[in-house]
Amino acid sequence: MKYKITHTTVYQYADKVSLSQNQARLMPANLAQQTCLESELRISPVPSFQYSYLDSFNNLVTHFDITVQHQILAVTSTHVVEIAQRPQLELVYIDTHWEAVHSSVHRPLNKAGLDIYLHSLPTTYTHSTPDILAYTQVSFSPGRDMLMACKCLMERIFNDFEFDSQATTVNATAPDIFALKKGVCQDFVHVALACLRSIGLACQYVSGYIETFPPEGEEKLVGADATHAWYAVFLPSHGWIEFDPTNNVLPSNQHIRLATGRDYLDVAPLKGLIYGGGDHQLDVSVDMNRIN
Amino acid sequence: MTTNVEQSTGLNATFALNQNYINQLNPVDIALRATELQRLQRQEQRLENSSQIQYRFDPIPCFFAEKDWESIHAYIGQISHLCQNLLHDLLHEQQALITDTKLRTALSADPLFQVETLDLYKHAQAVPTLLSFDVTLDQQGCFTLDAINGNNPKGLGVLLQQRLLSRRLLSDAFSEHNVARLLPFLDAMQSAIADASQHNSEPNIVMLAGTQNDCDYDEQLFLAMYLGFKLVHSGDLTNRDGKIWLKTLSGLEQVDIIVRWPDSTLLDPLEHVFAATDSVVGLCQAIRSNNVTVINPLTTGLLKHASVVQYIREQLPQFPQMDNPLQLPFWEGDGLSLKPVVFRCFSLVLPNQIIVLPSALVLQTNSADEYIPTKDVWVQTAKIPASQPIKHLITPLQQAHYYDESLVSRTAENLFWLGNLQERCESHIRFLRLYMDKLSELPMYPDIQNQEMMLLLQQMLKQNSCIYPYQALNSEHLEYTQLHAAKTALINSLQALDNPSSFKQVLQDFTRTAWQVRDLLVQDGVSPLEHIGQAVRWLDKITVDTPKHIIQAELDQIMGHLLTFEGALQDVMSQQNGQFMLSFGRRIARSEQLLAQILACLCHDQLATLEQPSLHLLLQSQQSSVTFKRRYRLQESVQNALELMLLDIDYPRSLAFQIETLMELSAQLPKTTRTVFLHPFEQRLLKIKALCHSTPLVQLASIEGGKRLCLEQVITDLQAAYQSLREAVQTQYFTHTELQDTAHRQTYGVIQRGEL
Repeated sequence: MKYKITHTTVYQYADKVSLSQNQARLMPANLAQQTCLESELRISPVPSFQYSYLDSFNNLVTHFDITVQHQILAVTSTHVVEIAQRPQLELVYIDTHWEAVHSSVHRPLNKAGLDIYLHSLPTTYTHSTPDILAYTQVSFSPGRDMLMACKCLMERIFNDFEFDSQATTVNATAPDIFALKKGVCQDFVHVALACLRSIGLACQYVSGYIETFPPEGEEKLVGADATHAWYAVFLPSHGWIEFDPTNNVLPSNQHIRLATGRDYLDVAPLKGLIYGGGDHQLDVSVDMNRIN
Repeated sequence: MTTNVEQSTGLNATFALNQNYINQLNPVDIALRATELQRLQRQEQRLENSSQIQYRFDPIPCFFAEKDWESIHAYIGQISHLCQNLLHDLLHEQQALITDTKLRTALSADPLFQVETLDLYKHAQAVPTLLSFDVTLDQQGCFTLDAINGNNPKGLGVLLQQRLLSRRLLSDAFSEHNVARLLPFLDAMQSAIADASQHNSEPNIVMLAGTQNDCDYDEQLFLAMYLGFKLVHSGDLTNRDGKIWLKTLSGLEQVDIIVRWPDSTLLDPLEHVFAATDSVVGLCQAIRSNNVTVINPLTTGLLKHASVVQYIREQLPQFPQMDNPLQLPFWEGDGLSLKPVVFRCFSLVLPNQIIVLPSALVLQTNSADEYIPTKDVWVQTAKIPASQPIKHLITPLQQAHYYDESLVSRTAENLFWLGNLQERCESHIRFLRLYMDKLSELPMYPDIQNQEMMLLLQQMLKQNSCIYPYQALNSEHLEYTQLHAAKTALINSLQALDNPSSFKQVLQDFTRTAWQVRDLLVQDGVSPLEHIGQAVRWLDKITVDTPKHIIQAELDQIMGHLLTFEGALQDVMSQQNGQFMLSFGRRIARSEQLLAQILACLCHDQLATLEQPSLHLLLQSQQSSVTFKRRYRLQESVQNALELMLLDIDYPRSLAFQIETLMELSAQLPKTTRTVFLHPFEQRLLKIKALCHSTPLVQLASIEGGKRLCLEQVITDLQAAYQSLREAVQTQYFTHTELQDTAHRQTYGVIQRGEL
């Protein structure tokens, strides 16, 4: 399946900005099930300097500086990405209880193992509480199969938490969201990560896009799609397995991965510092369409 | 004098040395030395009083016998070596983390541990590192490692300062004991730092400090001056083209080496998780690309973690349990008393060598005072130390260049705003004085015209149309009965917390800005500032019941302090130290307030009835009534007033005079582009001059439909041109960015995937 994605971010400032220095994580990665065929990042005003590098999580980061006064910053990324069907985990027999996975994660044998271990540690957004631990233990009962337990947790988050885009802000932490039982995809992922890390499992925050469909009989609106977030859990025999708690699905061929990290802070699509500017208004639009 | 220096077996020679020295002293001697040392310390650190002292230098040094010091030297060398190995391992194989569960669990769970930082030095060559260790000794000569600081040389500056002062004060004892010198260590440190640049044989080295509010700022300033490095704040540095630059008035200077004080996790707000004020955007990438060397490397911050200290401790020879830590005698004002201490030792870790400082800073632990009593360790040596001064990396010529042409942009900007704010404060006082005069006169002359004039003044004050931020006057109909609110409006303008342009706020901004450039101030300039600080506190106490004459007297005093401050600066500050920037800011502020007052007084909606009183108001607030009367006698017309206030290039309060002065001052600004072209700020000054002089006076003074539309238009255009001039100076000299209209035009920057 091929998709064309256009992701536009526009900041409008009340006053002039004299210097803006930013990092964008807007380039889809090339993975086993995902190939980025074309990619373009358009920035206005034109940056005086830009470079790209791979961060500690292997995400492609574009740094750009704008040294001319401006009141509008527009960043548009356009990609053509081909997705192959991910393996259907329902058909795979994984007979590993979660305690064995925990032991494996906590006994790294090399640097790769150490990297995985680091994903089992709580972060600013994903620290745990006794309530979160108790909630997790319902799914992760002693000796339970790892995959079954992960699916159970995802399903419970899907059922117990209400999607409400007004309930939280970008700074909400897992304990805040757990108390509210409301939030958006980013919040559900942070809750899931806090749950999994509370019992020492390694898991990743994944940012990206998901294909959406308009209500039956209606046309899809331009810019109506959005960035999305889900998470991946490490299984020694299978690597990172993805879960989407917002939709209660295992991502197959409608999820496009942009970046991975320990939490949102590691993968924010666009972050930066400006000098001047005063108040600002932010507009984000995403279009994701199938192409032949 | 006799005191109980505790006896031991392990440090016998050292105890004997200290005991002998103390036996020679009497309490009067020690008291005199303590007083003198404190005075010298205050003088060196430029502190106003003893309450600001963070460390108190004890008048009795801690002697160490050479043989006893050797064991400490070996111990510190061993710890340094272990730290070096651990850091190397963390950057490469990470075996310590893989194999040591305790270290892995504790270290990786700590926010200090950032995988991003470890990636920075994958391919970089080893960087010199200055480490400090807090060590406790016991009487048997056993050591315990308490703490490691791998971020910065905190304490080294204090030790150095104490050594210089004690040596001056106790010169006989110093030479008698053949004390090991600090110079070889500092020399090695200076050379190692200078050699760390990978590109430049004459590197540009800066010491990145915290702000002036940082409790270690004095130490940082002292050490930077001693080693000959430029002391900068994070705001002085900027990342452009993947390199780090120092912002100076004459442009951007590339920085090769940064000796840092801030914590390693706070240095790059885009790559590090924690937001911090001491950060430089893009610093990590500049390090990654080998475009700048940061000393100490960012990874060394990890060493202070308790799990690392424990890890290092476990690899050291185990001493028997310490049950009686060493205590040393400290002067308490009326006698000596034994206090527990910790020794802060320093080492310089180079790729092939570890150099241990032959001294330590002794810090009294559990001090009940606000300051920490300290001693410096005098290690006796058999070698006769050669005396030679430290070589400064910045030659006198370079120093002159630095201070003459390369005034740091932050300093220049602070001076600009200091001048600007001073003018605003003075203008605010003058307007309030006028307002109070009119308010006092009203009961004596309560005719309709005076009432209306007072109401208009009240609107001007409430709407800030004659004082900063010079908002447009929106005429609203007020009744005479509303005059009772006039005093409230006055109090609000003086002190209201919700009014960002209140006099208190402007005065606070002024003093805050003045303290930012305290290094350039002389004592004569500091005293008025202290008085102004007191006045700010007095402003909190006034109420509507405070009599007008008391307010007036206090405002007059503040005006006096402001003028004294300016006089003190004018008297001693050279153009090279940025005096022209002070004047530049002041002239722009004066121009802007003059334009605002002309607009408010001569272009309002009540010209038919209030033209003459408004004209007087303008002339009085501009302190121009006397000149106007002397020049024009009885011809009190708006046209004449405009001639004086706008066009007279000889009159110090006219706009034309401000423009001419600005043009003269602009000659002091360094030119960074080809001289055949006018600079953006020069273009703007020319535009201002043209706008000021191009419209005939008759036209400016004319009234159409009850309004002075032409004057209003010219003033509005001039205000926009001044705004543009400020932006030009700001972008060209302070932020080193581009103006919107001078930037190269292109719609989009496009990055193709192939380029990535």
